[in-house]
Amino acid sequence: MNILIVDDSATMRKIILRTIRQSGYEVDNVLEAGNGKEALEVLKNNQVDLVMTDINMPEMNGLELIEALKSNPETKKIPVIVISTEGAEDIVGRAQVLGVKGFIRKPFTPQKIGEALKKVLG
Amino acid sequence: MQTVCLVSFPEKIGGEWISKLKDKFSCISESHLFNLFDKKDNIDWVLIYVSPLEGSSNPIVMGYGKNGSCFVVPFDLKAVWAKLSVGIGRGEIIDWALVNAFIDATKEVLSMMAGVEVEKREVFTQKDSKKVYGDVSGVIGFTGTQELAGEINGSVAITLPLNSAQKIVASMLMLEPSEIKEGEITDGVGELINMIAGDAKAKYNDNFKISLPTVVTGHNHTIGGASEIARVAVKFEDQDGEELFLQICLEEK
Repeated sequence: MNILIVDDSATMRKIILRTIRQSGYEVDNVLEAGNGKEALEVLKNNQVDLVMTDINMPEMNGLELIEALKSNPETKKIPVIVISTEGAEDIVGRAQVLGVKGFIRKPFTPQKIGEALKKVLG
Repeated sequence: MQTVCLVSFPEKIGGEWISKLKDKFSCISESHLFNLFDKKDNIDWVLIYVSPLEGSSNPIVMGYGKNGSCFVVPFDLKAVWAKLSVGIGRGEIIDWALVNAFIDATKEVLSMMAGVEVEKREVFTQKDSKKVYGDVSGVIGFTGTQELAGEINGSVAITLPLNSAQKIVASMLMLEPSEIKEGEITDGVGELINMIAGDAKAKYNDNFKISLPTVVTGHNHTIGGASEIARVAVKFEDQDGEELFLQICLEEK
């Protein structure tokens, strides 16, 4: 599995990767980005099976990233899981309308990550 | 700065009483009776809701002030507020529900993300002081979003000694403290306060928004804004006896 993890904290990106592996999923290639803008740059030259993104990030936030992904024919089928401290109804609702496959609120357990991955990847 | 504590008899109806007041007013604090004794030195007013007595159809509210004043009024929100307004202005009251949300979130985040168990040891207010208790502070701003929390504005910070920060970030990454670089400590402490604020926000019904976190380092550093009106500090101790502090700074909206 090739995965893109988008979070402005490098520490959190490492924690997410570690937790995915703890959940029993093999990750072949990990790509990282510190905000939505960087993520779009990464995706210009790389194919991924899954994007996991934060919401609150500088320059380009997670919702703007998802909007950009879903409006581009080349990226609109990439499944997206949100991992964020956000949980306000309007933001979760907006993410669902945009077609995210899972919404995980921080702090999280490996079980929560595992369940979300199972839903998307089987 | 004045603080109000809400108590109800019997305790099981406390939720209703507190929610009625919260629906009506901003900046009302709450506590159950056992919490009251924990915080008694910080409380200026105690409001006690008393259920209707036999032969009486109306509940009453008794108010006791730290300065010795007291009142008894029918359970009528306007009557209670009129009494409170004598001594307490809006925005000057510490919202203990908010403070407790941050306390619970700190314990939960440290346990879940770093396997570090902490216990609350002391809660105190800091008047005219921006002192912090450590070398590294993760700070994040918050602003009320709903009518209920419209008066809330401020910041919350977690402050730790450098070695504790290194140990906690190492635990978050499942590494040894010696493997953690300085940049990872600041980034990790920033993410720590981000998760604490996010978790407190969830516990507070998402009634405030949070900013992006910042991290301040250095011995004797200070945090806080010019428009700060109240500050509550919470001392925690981890399983190794090491201390860390949470500071909630409330500012003028």
